Amino acid sequence: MISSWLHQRANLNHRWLQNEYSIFLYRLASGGVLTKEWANRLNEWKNRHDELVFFVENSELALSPKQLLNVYPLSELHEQHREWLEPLIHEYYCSRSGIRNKIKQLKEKISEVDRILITFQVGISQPEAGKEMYQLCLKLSEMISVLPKEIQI
Amino acid sequence: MSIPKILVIDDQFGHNIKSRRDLCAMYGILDITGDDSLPEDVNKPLAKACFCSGQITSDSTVINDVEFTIRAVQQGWPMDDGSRWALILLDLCFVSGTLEGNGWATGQVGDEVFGLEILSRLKLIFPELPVVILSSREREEVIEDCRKSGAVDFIQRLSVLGGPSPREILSKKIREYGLLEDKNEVVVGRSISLLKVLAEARRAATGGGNILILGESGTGKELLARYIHQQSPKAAGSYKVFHAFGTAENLQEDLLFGHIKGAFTGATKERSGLFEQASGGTLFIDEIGDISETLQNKLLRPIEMRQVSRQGSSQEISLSMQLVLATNKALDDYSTTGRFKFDLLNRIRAYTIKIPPLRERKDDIPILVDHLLEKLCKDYNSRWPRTVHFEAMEKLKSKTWEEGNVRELRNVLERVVKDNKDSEIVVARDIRFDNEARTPSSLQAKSVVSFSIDNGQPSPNLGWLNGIHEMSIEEDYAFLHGTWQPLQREIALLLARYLAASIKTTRIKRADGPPEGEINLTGAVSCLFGHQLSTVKAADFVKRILQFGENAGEEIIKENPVLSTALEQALRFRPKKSAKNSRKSSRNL
Repeated sequence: MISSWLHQRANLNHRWLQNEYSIFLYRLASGGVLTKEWANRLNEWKNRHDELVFFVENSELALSPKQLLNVYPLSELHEQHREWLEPLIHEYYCSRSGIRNKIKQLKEKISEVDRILITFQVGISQPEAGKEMYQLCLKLSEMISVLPKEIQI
Repeated sequence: MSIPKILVIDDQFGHNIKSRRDLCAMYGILDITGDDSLPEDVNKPLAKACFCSGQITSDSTVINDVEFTIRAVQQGWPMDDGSRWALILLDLCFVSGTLEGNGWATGQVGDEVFGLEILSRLKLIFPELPVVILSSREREEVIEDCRKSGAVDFIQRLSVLGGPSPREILSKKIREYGLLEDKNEVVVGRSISLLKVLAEARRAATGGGNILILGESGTGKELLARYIHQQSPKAAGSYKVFHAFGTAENLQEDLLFGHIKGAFTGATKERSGLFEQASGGTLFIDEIGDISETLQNKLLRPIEMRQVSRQGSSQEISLSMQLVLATNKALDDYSTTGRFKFDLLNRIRAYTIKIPPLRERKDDIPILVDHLLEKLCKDYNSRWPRTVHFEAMEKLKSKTWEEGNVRELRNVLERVVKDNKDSEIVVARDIRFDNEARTPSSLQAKSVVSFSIDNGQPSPNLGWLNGIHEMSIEEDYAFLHGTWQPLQREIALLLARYLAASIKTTRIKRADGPPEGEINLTGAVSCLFGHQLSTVKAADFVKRILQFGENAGEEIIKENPVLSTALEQALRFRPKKSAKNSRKSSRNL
């Protein structure tokens, strides 16, 4: 699970959000005119939105140490013990890592980008909206970047 | 002069043209890779860029490939026009693996540090090539590894709005580290050693501080000082020059500090010194090693505190200036003997730049010759343009330039122009060196012969061999010491090849003989010498050349099998035998 999550993170955050979408937004924020082609590129956010939300929501499970119960030697645990140990490990990890709070903040940031995107669609204050959107995406990318890169033990 | 060319090594921008256009617009670079039919139209680009992915794709699998990357770098080191990559921008993370539907690779272990692997190889093969890391990762995270691996700096790909723009950031890095020619052609040349000096000069040109230029006489220290001034934030200010050498000691102080009226006998009116005149700009003090000891003490304050008083006045005047000093003297030695104040030396050598002598930047000779000839032809109202025959250029390049440097080159060319005002070509005969007698002819000969052998073809530089027989063994003995044998070997190799060519042209064709004709050894050797030789002498000549040294003979014969037959024939001829036998043998020669 962690490997596919890491893979998704590399594609979504590193390749798309940082190196593609944010660089495009920088141009927009630097006074670029919103042509039809650029409007289409701006709307890439909408295409990626659900994938991004799914990725963020999936973080809690992807980084959870409870997955280790499926791997030898913990996979040998009796079902009876596993039943109480699994939720306990997960809850302990959640409270220690603050992952739920991080997910909440990430989703809020995504919603902020959603809202600012509407500004473009109604055509008001484009340069300012461009700057705000660029800053928000940078922040979002930074928040994703600091998520752990391995299961949290 | 064209704008600098840079190479961007990045997996994503190497492959993805849409993203690349954004990057080019963001950094103000013009994409010249050639794989984009509609590259981004950048207004006043600060550099031209080629993009290289650092990867190859085979059977839907993306592979990180260092060798492919090195080849891409080699293409611009140097390019066909003689220019080089000014800078490399290198990404850190290269995602490889199986290609997925969205066109992205899956990612493999080690991808995140592949950039560092490339960097290590680049520093091994191209140690002089400046590499700047361009990555989306945080600077603090990676800067230590990057610097340790040889990168000169790091650029965070995404800039914070309101701070310096990406274009400004890249421009600063290119200015500080890029291998850039002087577009104003004050300092002419494109050799790596010179381009590195120019980069040092730009870094030093902060508009303040002291810069010490070291270099032999005639290397262009004053020109470099002017370049520093032009590159500094004080370029709009005045540029003043003070030549210590040749200026009377009592005048040195007055010229630098000025005086008030009545400061000394004859000081009828107030006058500012060069320090004051250069305030807001640059003062260049040439030959600082020739400054009198008294004046050295007086220089401490303006050099360190940027304050000066005119002679006869106690009023301090504050200065805002850049100070450039130069010398061809060993100031350290001077300081040890007390001839140069250690305190002063310490203050002026905060940033030292050493200009390479011409003999260490011979690659620059063609471009310097072109530049100087154009200037001299205009100065002396002589024919321009004119070409320089390659033999003439080789003559200039093979000179050792032990002293005099660019100034001496200029003098040599000045004579060429004055002696040949209306000529459209400079030939080797036109080039005359003042100290020709001191140039070891053995060294000239060696370089010519080596050139001939390495080229694998008969030398086009035959004219150069004209004076070889006049080589003075007594005078050149020191230079020949230890080189005589190799020199003989090279000459023997050269002569052997001429002999082979001569044999080919003098073959005698007979109806009953081989189709290519019979070897006429006496004829061939006579042809080489330009007059008829006896068979004895011809055979002796062949034996001497083809039996030179223990291994050289084998080497010569291996080069051309016809020589093996020639030697066989020469050996069959025994001069000590009776005249009858000799005559009999000679029929075969």
